[in-house]
Amino acid sequence: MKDSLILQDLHATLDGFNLKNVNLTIPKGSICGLVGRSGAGKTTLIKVINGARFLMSGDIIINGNTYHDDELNIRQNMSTVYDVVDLNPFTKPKGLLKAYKNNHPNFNEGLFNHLKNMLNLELNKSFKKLSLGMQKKVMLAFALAVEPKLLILDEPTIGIDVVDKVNIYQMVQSYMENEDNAVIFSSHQVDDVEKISDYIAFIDQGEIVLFENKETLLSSYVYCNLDKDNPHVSLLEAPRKTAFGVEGIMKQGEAQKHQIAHQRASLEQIFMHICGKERS
Amino acid sequence: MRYFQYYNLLRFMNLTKQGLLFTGIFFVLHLIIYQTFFTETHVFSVTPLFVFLFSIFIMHLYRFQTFHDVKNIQYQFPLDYRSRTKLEFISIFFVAIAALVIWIIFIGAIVLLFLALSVFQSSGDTPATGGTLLELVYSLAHHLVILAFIFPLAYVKRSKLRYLIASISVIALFIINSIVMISAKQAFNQLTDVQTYTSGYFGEVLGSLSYAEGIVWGYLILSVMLVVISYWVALKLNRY
Repeated sequence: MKDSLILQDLHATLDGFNLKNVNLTIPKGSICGLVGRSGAGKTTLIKVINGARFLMSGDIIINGNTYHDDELNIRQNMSTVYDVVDLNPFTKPKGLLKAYKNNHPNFNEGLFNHLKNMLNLELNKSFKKLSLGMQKKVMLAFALAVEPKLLILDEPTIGIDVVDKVNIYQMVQSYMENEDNAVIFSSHQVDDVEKISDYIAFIDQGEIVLFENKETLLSSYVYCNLDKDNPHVSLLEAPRKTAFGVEGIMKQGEAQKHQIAHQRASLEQIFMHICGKERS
Repeated sequence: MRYFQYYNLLRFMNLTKQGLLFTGIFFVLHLIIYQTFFTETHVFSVTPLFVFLFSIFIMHLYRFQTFHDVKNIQYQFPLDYRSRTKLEFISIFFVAIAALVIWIIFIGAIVLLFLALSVFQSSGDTPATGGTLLELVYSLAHHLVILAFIFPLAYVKRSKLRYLIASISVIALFIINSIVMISAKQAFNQLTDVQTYTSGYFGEVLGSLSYAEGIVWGYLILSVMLVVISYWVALKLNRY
C-alpha cells in the first residue's frame, strides 16, 4: 500500500456543514497541507477522517484499512491534534501521560521525554492553567510519541511562538524520516503550510478545489499585474482589480506564449485567487 | 483490569451541554415512576436502585457525547467499537457501585460525626428492612428494562427517534407497573376486609397476588433478555 490516506467521493454532513465530493490521495512519506479560510471545512474534514459518525457516502481508506474492517488498526496508527484541546480542564498532562503509558501499546516514553525537553512542556499544571500554545504542544508531544503512521494536525501553530513553531517543524520533519509516515497539516496560514508541505489541498465551502504537488503547483502558475486595458486580462484566473490595474494568476505556459511580464506566484497568491472570492 | 484503564480515559472527558436535555427529561420521568411505584412514602430517598437509575443516565450522557464527538480523547487510543460498547456497558454498573460506596461512606461519616457530638439518640425503632425479596426483584427487573431501553439510544443518530423510543419506554413502564399495581391492590382488598388499600406502594401489596412469584421472576427473565437484545442493538448501532 503506497498511500497513507485515500478519500473517495466523500459526501458528509456534520454539525450543519456539508463536505461535497471530496477526493484526496496522500502518499506515504509526504506532508499534505490542507489550506482554507476559516469555516471552509478543514476541521470537519479532519473529523470525518477520524471516523465521525455522520459520513453519508464515500470511502475512507487509512493505511489500507477502513473503519468498517479494522478500526483498531486505524486507531492504533493514527494521531490527531485538534485546533482546540477538548479535555476535562482539571486534567494534568502527567495524568494523561499515565493513561498513554497504560493504554497505548505504541507509546514511546523515551521519545515523549525527548519532546518534553525540546518543547519545555509543563506536566504538573492542569490544562485550564496552561496557555493555548502549551496545551497544543503537550497534545502534539503525545500525538508524536505514539509513533503514528498518519499524523493529523489541525491548526497546530495557533498560539505558538516563533521559536516553538520552528521546533514543531523540526519535530514533524524528524517524524517524516520514516518514509511510511504521512502528515496532514491544516492551516489558514498559507506561509506555514508552504514551508513544510509536499502536497497542497485547497478547501473552500466544503469542497477540495485544488489538490496538487506543491512544486508542480508553484511552477504551474505565475503572478501577473496588468493594466486594465491589457488585451490579456481575460487570460487571468480569478482576476482582482487593484488601484494600478488588474492582478491575477495565470498558467505559466500562457504567460510565456503571450510574452506577458510575470513573476513566480507564491502559494499565498495562488490561494488568494482561487479561494479568496467573496462567499455568496 | 482493562476496565480501570478505560475508566482513566473516561475521567479526562470534558462534559458539555450536548445531550443534557434528553438525559434530564428522561431521568426525571423515570424518577417519577420510581417514586410513584417503588417508595413507601413517596418521599425522595437514596436507595441502591435509585443510584443504579442515576448511573444509567449519567453514563448515557457520557456515551452520547463520546459517540457524537470524534474529538473525544478516547478516539486517540486503540479502541474499536466493540471494546467501546463493552466498556461503556460495564461503566454503568461500575459507576453505580462506586457511587453507592461513596454514598455509604458519606452517610457513615455523618452518623459517626453525630455520634461523636452525642447528638444522635436512638429512638428504639428498628430500621426499615427495605421490602420483600419479591419487591426487590421486581424493582430490579424494572430498572433493567430502563437500562435496556436507554443503553442503545446514545448511539442513535436521529434525535427524534431517540426521544420517541425513550418516550415509549416511559409509557410502557408506567402501563406495566399500573396493571400490576391495580391487580395487586384488588387482591389485597379481597384478602383484607377491614380497610381499602390506598397507599401506592408495591412492597405492601405485591405478595397479595396468588401469581406474584410468577410475575416477578418472569419479569426479571424478560428484563435480562431485553438487556441482552439491547447490547446487541447497541453493537450494531455503534459499528461503522
